[in-house]
Amino acid sequence: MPQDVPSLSESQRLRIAETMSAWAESHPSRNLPIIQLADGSELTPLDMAVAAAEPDSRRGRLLYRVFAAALIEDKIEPLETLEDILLDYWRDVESWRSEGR
Amino acid sequence: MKDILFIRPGDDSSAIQVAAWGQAVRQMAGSLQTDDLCGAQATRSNVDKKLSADFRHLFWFGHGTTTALIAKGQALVDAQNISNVRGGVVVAIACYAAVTLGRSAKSGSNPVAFLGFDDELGFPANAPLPMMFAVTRGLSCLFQQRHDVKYAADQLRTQFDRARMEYKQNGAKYGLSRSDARTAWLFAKSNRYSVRTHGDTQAVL
Repeated sequence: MPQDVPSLSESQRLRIAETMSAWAESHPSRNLPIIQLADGSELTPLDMAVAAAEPDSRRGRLLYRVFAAALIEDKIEPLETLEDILLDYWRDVESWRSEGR
Repeated sequence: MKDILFIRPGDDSSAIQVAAWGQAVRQMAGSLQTDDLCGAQATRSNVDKKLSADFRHLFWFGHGTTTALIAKGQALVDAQNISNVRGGVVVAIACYAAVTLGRSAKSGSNPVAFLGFDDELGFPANAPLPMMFAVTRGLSCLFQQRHDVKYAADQLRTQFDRARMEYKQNGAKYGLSRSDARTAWLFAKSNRYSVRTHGDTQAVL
């Protein structure tokens, strides 16, 4: 729907889905809203993992648009790869796993 | 004729949050005459009544779909009544309304310009402040410098860029973990790329 957002490749989608699943599983507040949307709905980490696993669902399409927008190059900061972005999730996953959460 | 009708339904937790942003924007109106439909006052009949009393501009802070601005599932502003905004600007801090509803804005028509979003507007549940500042600071130029809609859209984008850097660099200050801050960053960047205008973007308040 947004005019400027590119589409993601299948391999990129799979990496996002894998990351969201591991992240939600380890997240200490996996059932609490992390994002509120101005359509009245909320996203928990588990919701984001489910959305990533269902790319054709309404929320799945939203999640992948959001990640696609993240890969738009602009002058605000150096462009990060998808791997750079997902690394922040994996670092927390490792940290939470080591804490036994 | 009055200047601006603010509508802030606050019909659930995210709409309550966004309604507070609208109150902050209303405080900037200065000498412009404003009226406000907030909470339970935000009904279709009240909106129609207010719009028939001749407002030049409408500012909405709440939920949206592609074709309507809604509260409790009911369309309060849609194709039937948006033309009652007399020759001015509609600003919709809401999801999706720029996709279809916003396209009703045309130069020489009612309304003449629309500023809103063509996708979901998202913000972190426990750290909404940078996103609030993005909206309030982005829109402030409409009031304080009487800049036009195009400039305000650019300011909104700039302020969402600031919000995303704030989450990235200072997420821990808001109690966000690294990944939660990254999620906030994702939505700030998405919001930035969802800002859209329609109609006469040189319109001013």
